[in-house]
Amino acid sequence: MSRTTIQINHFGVLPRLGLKGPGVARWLGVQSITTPSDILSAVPIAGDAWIARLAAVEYLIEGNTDSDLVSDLRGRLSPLPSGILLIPRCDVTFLLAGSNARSVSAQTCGIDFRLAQPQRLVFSRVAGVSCGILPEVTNGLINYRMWVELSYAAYLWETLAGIVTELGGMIHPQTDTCSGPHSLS
Amino acid sequence: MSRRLPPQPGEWIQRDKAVEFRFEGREYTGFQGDVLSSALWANGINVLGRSFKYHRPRGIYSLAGHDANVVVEDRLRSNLRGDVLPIRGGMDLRAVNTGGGLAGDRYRIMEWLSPFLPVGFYYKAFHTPRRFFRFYEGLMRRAAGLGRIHVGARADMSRKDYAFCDLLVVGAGPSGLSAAIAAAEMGATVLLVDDQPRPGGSLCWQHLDAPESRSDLLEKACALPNLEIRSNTQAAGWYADQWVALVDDRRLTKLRTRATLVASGCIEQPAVFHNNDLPGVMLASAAQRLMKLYSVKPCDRAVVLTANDDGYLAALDLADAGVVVAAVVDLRPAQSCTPVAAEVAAHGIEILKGQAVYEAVVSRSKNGIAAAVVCCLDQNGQPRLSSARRILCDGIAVSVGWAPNASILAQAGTRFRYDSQLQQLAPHDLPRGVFAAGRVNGIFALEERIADGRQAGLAAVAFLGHQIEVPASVPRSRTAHSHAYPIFDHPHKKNFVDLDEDLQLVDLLNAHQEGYDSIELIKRYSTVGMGPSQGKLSNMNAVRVVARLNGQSLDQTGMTTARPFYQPVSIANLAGRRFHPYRLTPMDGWHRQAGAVMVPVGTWFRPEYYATKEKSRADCVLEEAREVRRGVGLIDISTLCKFEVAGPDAARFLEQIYTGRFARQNIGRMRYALACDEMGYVTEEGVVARLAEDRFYVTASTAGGEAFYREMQRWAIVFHMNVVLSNVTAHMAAINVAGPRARGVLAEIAEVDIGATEFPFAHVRDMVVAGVAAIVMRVGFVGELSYEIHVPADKAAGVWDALILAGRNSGIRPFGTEAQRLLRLEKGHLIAGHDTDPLTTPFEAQLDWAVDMNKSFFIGQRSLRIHAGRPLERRLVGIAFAYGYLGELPEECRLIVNRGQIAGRVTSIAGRTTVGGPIGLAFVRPDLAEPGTSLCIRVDAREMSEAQVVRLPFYDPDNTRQT
Repeated sequence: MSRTTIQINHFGVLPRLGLKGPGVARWLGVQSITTPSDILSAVPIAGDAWIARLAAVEYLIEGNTDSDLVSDLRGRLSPLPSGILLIPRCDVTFLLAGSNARSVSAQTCGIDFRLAQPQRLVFSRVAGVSCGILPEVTNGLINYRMWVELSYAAYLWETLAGIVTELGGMIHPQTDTCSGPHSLS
Repeated sequence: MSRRLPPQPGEWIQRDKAVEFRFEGREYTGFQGDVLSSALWANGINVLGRSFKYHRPRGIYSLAGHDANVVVEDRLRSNLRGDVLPIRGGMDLRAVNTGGGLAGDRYRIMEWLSPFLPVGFYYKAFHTPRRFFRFYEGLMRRAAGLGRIHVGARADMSRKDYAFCDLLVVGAGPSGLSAAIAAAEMGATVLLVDDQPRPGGSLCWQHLDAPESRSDLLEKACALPNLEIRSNTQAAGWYADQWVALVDDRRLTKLRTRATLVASGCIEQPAVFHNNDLPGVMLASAAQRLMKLYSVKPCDRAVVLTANDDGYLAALDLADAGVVVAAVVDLRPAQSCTPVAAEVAAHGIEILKGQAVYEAVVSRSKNGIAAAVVCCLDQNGQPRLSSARRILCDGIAVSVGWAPNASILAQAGTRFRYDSQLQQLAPHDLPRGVFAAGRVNGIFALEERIADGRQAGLAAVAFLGHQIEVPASVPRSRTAHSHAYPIFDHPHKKNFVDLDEDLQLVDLLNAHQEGYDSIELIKRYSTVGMGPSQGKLSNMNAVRVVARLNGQSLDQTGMTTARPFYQPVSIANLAGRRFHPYRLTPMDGWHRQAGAVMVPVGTWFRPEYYATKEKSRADCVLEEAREVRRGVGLIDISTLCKFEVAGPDAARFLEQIYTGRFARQNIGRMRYALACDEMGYVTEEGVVARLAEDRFYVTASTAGGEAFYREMQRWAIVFHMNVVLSNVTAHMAAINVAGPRARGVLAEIAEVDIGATEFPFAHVRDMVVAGVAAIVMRVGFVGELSYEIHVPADKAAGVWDALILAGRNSGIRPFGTEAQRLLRLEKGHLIAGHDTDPLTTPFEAQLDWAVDMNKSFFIGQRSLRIHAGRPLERRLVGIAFAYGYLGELPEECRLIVNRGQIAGRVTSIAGRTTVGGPIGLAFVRPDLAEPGTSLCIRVDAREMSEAQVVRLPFYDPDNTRQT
């Protein structure tokens, strides 16, 4: 892909684990997972995954399709330790990449992404739908990883892909072989 | 006849690119870079449009889009302004508002009728006799107005986008460019917008020999990476918190800026004299634009009417272009003389000081002017007719003053004061974060405008928090660039104050005489400033007239309120791309493949029913319902709102949210849950399933659940409870398997025993279904043995497929929302929001059993106590029509009538049911609620139907089917 274009990738529903409660941070520590110190920030973790801190005691872990980390952790949560609530998370992941990616967000989202920092989470509406957005740096360019509820995924994909096409970008629909955002780098 | 001049330095046209286009059915040639008005004028065309009311011929006046003289349409678009419409090959345009074309406009007769059409005539005429109004209306609609809307035309979708900057600079003239450069050099992110095709402002056509030229400034600006210049972009509206709408021909940009700097210059103002609207009379700046930007000669022989040095500069430009300047008529008294006047005199041009153009003489063709009648001014500034002198000319260039192009400043809340030295309004009190520079700020000399821009740019940067030293303000000009009253009465009128609305001086005088003495009233009565140009050329003169009539100062008279939009904005720009989010369930693809007719429910799409060949909708729905009654069916209920409520206070929280009891609810049990608002009216219903001591799974309706969840979040804060709420609607899908064979089907794929004893009615279980961890609830909404299976959304399609496969031998079939509604109606279950309205109490809806008034507190309890102490006003009852009823059925919401009085209304109705005849639910007066009571229900305006009140439910009153 040229560094001056846009592309949007559809990764489908990646393995995710949502945890909430006062016991979460300690439990994750026991699992050797370092949690982000700041709210609304994310850090990569072993197992080709990353962890985000959504609130004071709420965390989200997302892995790749070929990673067992999330299923391993989920297995260790049965029975559920006290102070931990499992939050069902069934979101679809898109990745908006390329130097012109901000042209797409400019048409769909009222956030000034010039000010967005890599690994700092933004929750906003994209094309009228609530989304989580994580700017991340790949090959020196800021890409935007986006999550949307599964029920809105078809709509948002159609809308974003339409705008990317208008702007001359590339569309990568969901495929069985996609291995997640890290394969882009 | 071509008026095209030889190549001019800095011209905007590209002479190597000829453009052919059509106007009013004739072919013309122009150059790329021409606008329609310049191209037509270059082709020797004088009449480019007809006026709004009297259909007088009109030509170029401002050549900046500040007037509505040249408004055209093509087959797709309407109301295009010729002054700013670039010509393109193949264009086929015609003027708007003509009867039979520009040349032979049959509505020219309106000018002869003008004595019968005084100001405000439409407020006084056409009222009586009323029967003629249709005739008048048709006539007026045809005669007045602008272009036609081409309803068949499909506009290109225009984009909307968001943008952000530290400083928005409006206007890319010398002061705007200077301001933007100064701010960007200090590190601010600057967006500079200008509504012209090229930046430079008056440097493009007025100050071509300036020491700091346009190219110098542009070079500096382009070298700054943090300075973006957008041409052809207007700042259309300024809104609270520095939100600015930017409009170009492709998009509407919603800009959020931290500061706004307005350097939008001034708009040259007309003089009011007899026939001041005819082709050939134009603003001096328009003549200069014609010559410098488009290389077109405005006329052959000109008179320049002026009250400032700009008119003299225009006279020199005209002379340079080969125009014979017959005279410069200066409104100012004889003693004033400036260097530029001396230069004009040195060119041998006659200068007539202290004189005015009293009238323009119509040419023989009536499409232009033949001469200017010039008079000396008396002590009151009015023409002395005894001194009248006729000067032959085919053009009059007018430069008598300027008005600030200050709409953005005014929208931002800037207060203006009339500066009597300048004879111009100038910003007096700028709001925080808003800055002004250049001519709009009352600074006229070019070098001072550039310095003022720089000063304002630095002041804006300081406001943004940069630690810099801001130079002192540039003082305003000391000499007037505008005349105090360039308005001259004439016995034959046609001295227009507002060219858009064909408003003459006499119209304002008459309106004032009728008592409309405030500028806001006179605006509305006379329509001054209400045309497409929004008073750019008329407001200032109207204020001068009203001030003089009232004997007030201009400050006392005031200005009309400035509102967006000042420049026309196409509706396509405002509409733009719209987002219409929709939601699909995980089984959506399956439904569509199975022939489902999808129906929108809120933002969701759900199967209404599954179409079967050669069967009607009603047959399909009834068949789906029967299959549930006798076999097994499944329905996708993923759209139900689903929440998790957890934490030490979860049970206590639910007790306060809902009317029922949950504190002592056993783990593994589920209960019906009803919620009211503080007034005791039903807001939501669903079920609450207890999964653990401190964890509940709650469902709510598709339509109202999201709003209810937000209320729950609010109450959680209000109650200060240790509770965690989680909206899992989109993360958990749900499937309802219902019917006598439902247990057998589910048992095939469930990994636990789901026998009647092991998993009884109103219980909930965590179990694995088709290999997927699920929450399964025994519910009874459709009145049959029924299981609600809640699974992670990404696994739901697999579970659905497994159920279809497991039920193959049981004849399982999907059913849609219509069959579900029928089944629940037969069971007598209401739907909150459908069978209730926002003023329905639980007592009216026969939901008393779901309300525990003995609890210490729940939302709405206090109000319900009051309701309980009052007699009921209505009651929800079942109604049944006679078996075999053949008449037309009333629709939902039809009225129940008793002795000529409204006695209730139908809330739900079904014609074909599995229980016999048509049934429904209805609110009725309590005295009509007894079973057996006959009800008269209105079907339509003429027909009534009859039904009887019956006991609920219609189906399985002993609840034997769902256990």
